[in-house]
Amino acid sequence: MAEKYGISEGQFQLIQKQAERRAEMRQEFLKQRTNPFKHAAEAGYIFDPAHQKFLSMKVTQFERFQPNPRTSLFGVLTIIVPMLTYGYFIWNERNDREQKIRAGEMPYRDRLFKLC
Amino acid sequence: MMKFMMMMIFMMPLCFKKNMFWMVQNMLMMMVFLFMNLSINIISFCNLSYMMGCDLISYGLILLSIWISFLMIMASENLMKKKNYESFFLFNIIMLLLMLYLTFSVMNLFMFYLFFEGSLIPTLMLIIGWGYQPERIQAGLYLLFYTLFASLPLLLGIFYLYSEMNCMMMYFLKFYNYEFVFLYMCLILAFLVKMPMYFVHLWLPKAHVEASISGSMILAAIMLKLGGYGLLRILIILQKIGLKMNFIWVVISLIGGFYISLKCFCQIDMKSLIAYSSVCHMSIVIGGIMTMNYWGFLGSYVLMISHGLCSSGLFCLSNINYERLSSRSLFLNKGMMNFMPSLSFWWFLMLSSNMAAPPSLNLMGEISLINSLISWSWMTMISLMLISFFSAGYSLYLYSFTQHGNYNIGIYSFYMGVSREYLMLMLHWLPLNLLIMKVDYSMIWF
Repeated sequence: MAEKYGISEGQFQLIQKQAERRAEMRQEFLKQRTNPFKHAAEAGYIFDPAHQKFLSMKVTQFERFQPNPRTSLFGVLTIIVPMLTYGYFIWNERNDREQKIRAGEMPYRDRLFKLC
Repeated sequence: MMKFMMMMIFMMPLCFKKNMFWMVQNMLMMMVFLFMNLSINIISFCNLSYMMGCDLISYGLILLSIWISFLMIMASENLMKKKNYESFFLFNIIMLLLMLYLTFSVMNLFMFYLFFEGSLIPTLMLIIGWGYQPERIQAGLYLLFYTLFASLPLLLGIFYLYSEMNCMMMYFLKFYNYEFVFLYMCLILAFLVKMPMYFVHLWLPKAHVEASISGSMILAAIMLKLGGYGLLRILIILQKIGLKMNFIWVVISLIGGFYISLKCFCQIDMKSLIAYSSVCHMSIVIGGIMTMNYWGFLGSYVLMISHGLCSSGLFCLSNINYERLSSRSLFLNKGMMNFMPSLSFWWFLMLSSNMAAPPSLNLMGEISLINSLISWSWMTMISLMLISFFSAGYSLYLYSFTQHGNYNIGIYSFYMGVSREYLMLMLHWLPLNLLIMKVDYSMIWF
């Protein structure tokens, strides 16, 4: 059969196994979905363990975090360095503007937001 | 002013009578109207009594507190139906309201601190007592210890101020000025943690998500604003050093706000997304207050009121979904327009207000804050552009993901929106979108 589709025998077996597993899961889903005695008061949806694992993973992300040189470098480069640079530029711009105003180099009409 | 305190104290025994759930809610509604009748002077403190007074800022925040308490009871009907200690719940709400009312109305800085801390205990009880998951214990601890750790220096700072000035009245703070860096740090750290600012914001997503609907509503609406209110009062005494050092907090909160708005896109939990969006809004508010402009102060006040209503409304919406599906996951709460098209309308209104679309009060607040920050330094334009853009982005993401598309095929059953829920949302939305017609009530101060 495999040479009909141009794939190896091993791959063909794998695809068949996957299709079987998918069919099993689909039957299980439909069985739960159409169950007339379901207790919808417990949860309003079909419980999917994979979904629950995903949610638990997201909720415990902070607890599972382990600092290592890669993550520390990431934190410094993306958070500390931009804040320091931004702060440096803002401080300089405000200082220069203040100096110019105090030294009288900026005419009154060029001072923006003076009535703020 | 004492009359409201008396009304709250005497509502407490009422909570323990049988079948008084909706009666207490009615009394709170009457309190809202009574409070609205209080005539205030917008440029000074008025209605002075023993140690209480009413300023424009206090007035708005007290009104918001009573309004949100009223809506909290409306949102918690499930509690009453399941008889989940509803009398203690009502007592807790009235206690919290009393603490908040006193926080905003006392004129004495030490008393303000006392009630600022006092409001933490009923909040902790709301989170741990009526929350849903076991993670709520850790959330309560985070809330308590973050705030307590930062507010001990505040207490010491207040004692220092009292020993220097021998006076704690808020109105007289403007005659003093302290250039002491250590005092500056001590006094404002507590409020920055409460706001919260970017590096110390970790308690907020935990506390908001793990609390029940009433806990989330009061946290989002009022507890964050305690920090803003405190900053508005305390910065008067720290003006000179503030002018030199406030840029640190502006930079941290603006860049932090940008990162938080990006993080909103990674959330899979609806309440978590709304909690992170609260941090983003508060980061702009901190930026505005720290610029020490007139526009900054007033824009922050307007944004505090409007964010209180908007965020509280969003938590109500996510709770409406949670009551039906017992899950806050976005994977399950999608395609809701197929089940409740009328509620889609309210999702849209709340989320459009959240992204500061006209004609909401958030727009007014953000315009004033953008004006104040850009007048302070044109470089803030970059981070403000990014924050505004991504803020619109995640609001739209939440709306389109929860409402549009196919619903999750694994859902067993659903029920339509109930009138009480629509009423609650309308009461959140109506002040938010109508107050912009009379925004001069909030934009003229001292």
